[in-house]
Amino acid sequence: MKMNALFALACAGFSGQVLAVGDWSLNGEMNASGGTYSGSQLRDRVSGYGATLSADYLERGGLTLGLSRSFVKMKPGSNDIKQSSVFTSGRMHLTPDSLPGRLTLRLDLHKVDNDDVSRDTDEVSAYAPQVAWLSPDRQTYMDLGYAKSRYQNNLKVTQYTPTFGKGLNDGADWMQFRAYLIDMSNAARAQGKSATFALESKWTHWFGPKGPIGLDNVRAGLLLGSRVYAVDPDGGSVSNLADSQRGDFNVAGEWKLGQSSSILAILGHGRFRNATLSNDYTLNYGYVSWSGKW
Amino acid sequence: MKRTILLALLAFPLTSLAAEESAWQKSYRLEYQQKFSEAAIALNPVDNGRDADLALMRKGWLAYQRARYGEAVEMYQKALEKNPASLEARQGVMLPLMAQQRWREVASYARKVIADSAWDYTAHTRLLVAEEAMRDWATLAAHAERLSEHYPGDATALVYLARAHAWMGNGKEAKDAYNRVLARYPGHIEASQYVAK
Repeated sequence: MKMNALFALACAGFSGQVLAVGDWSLNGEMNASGGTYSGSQLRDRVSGYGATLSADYLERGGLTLGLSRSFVKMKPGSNDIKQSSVFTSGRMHLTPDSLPGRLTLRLDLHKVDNDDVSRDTDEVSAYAPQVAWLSPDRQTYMDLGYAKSRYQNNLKVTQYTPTFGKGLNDGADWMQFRAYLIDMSNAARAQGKSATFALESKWTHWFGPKGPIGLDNVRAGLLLGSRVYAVDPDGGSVSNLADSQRGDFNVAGEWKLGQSSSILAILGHGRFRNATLSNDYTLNYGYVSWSGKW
Repeated sequence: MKRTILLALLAFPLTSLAAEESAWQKSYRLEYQQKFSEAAIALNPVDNGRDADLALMRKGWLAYQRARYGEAVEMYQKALEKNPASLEARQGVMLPLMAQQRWREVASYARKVIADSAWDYTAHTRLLVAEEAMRDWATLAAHAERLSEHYPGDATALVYLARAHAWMGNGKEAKDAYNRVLARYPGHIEASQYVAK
């Protein structure tokens, strides 16, 4: 459909450049996930799989295309949901003399389709531009993200995600904080909320050459506050199926397999609320991915 | 009156000299005075002439001196457009790219120099720096090992070999490489500290 147009848009930053094949790098990733709900009146379990392919030209910019499928198994009496998502992202890096460090302009496009009979979560589209800055020593990061999502049945969602990241301990640790400020155009379609606020923090620690059990790095994430219909810039995903998310904690470990591939495993626990049913419930989930570069 | 004539005579050689100063001389004089912008502007009359690529490379160097790294890259690239065979322009453009930490671009230009001049020392050492910055340890170790075979008296390649082994957790190989550094540079601080551990 619009894929050619999206590709052309993302390529626009490279127009006029002579592109050498050896100056491109490719990254591929495949993932699978699963989780079980506890205490939910409607949901039983969730699973999914996906793949992304990224191509970057030197340090000038790049493109990412992601495809994923997910399934929500509902309790008896409710219809299961099968969903397909397409994620396209283009980025351009700039190093202007007027600003120390690196500036990155990024644009993400999301398209989500499923078989939700109410169509409330079907045919979702979102665009999400972002401006990011990385300091010359690469130890300080800031970005300002914006996302606009369109849902069927009279709902538009606007999201702002200011982000701050800081390297610690000579680069062995990285802390990142991201605020999610989300406004909904129609509270009746958003768990009775017209706005939500959540703060997400992520910590990454890289080990030296001999990490425990061969680990390259470990990560921990914590989400406080609440958010609905969030667009996640790191995950490249839209939370169109979730009820109000009221917290999350996850831990992860990454193993390098030689110089060019790695495996990432995440275990997490999330808290949700369905305001319509006054139903609080939790989700225990796992995620595993393999990524390689060429 | 005599004084006026004397002054006029003394001034003559100076004014004559100034009138004969070429664009190149003026540029080098201004660079020596740390007037880098003016030194670049002085080259404007010659940056379309026979030595246009040289003038553009000098403008790149002068922009680099002013920490105008983006401008420096642009000037070196213009020099390359004028003279695609120029190894000097490829060497030059790596400096501002390194300052901007655009390591993949540094590596790309270094490989282009190496493709034309297989064991160019400057290109190889800059490629080592880029490989280290990109944490490409296996590539760095293999590259540093090969470079040290071609430059057996050089300590730099061995330092990168040692670092790569240290990062890969190969302590014995790292220590061996640092000992080889100390055989060539007995006071080397990094090598001494590692060997003493």
